[in-house]
Amino acid sequence: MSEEQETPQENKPIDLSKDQNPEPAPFQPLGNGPVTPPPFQQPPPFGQFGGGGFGQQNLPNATASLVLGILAIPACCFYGIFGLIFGVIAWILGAGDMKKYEMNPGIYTESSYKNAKAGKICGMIATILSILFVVLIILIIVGAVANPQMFDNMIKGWH
Amino acid sequence: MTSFKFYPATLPLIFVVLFTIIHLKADFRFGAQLIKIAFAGVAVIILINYIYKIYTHQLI
Repeated sequence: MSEEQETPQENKPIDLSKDQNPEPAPFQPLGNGPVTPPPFQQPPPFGQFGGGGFGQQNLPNATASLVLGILAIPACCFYGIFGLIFGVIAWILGAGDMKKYEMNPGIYTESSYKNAKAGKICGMIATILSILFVVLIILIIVGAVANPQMFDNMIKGWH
Repeated sequence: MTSFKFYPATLPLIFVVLFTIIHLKADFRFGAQLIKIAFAGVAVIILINYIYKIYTHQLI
């Protein structure tokens, strides 16, 4: 029995020796303690100043809003309807992403925020142009219905 | 030049589209700003072209 009691006692020093192996660990926190923990805890505050970069992700719809906002102008050629649809979608996506960035500036990258902003502005411009185009086409149709002869003369004048 | 006479915004628009593709791949620092300015320029060209064609009755 005494031997059995001794054996666990012998094991205990072994465990202590295992614990003693990380004894250098207390030295590390003393030397690097103030330095190592903050990078894992403070990326969001650093991200607010535009630094950092790791741990940050792109805004989900920034690229989509930018591409749609630019494609909205060529889409104006299709009677303005597709341009209107693309422009409004780009506007909404860009505005939504800008709100997301303003809620949590540290999580998302600043470049994607700029892309979302550009997509929103492009969407606004494309929407306004598309509305003008749709209004012009409506005016042409109304004019053609009201004065068919004048419209025929105008078409003959083109060709 | 024919495309410029037909629709003056064609070449700037192609430039904007190509630059956007390159910007999305390479992620330039001032890419988004440049795209906004170029897009506004294209919109101004389209509007001027529109007004000019309406005044001169060259709707097509």
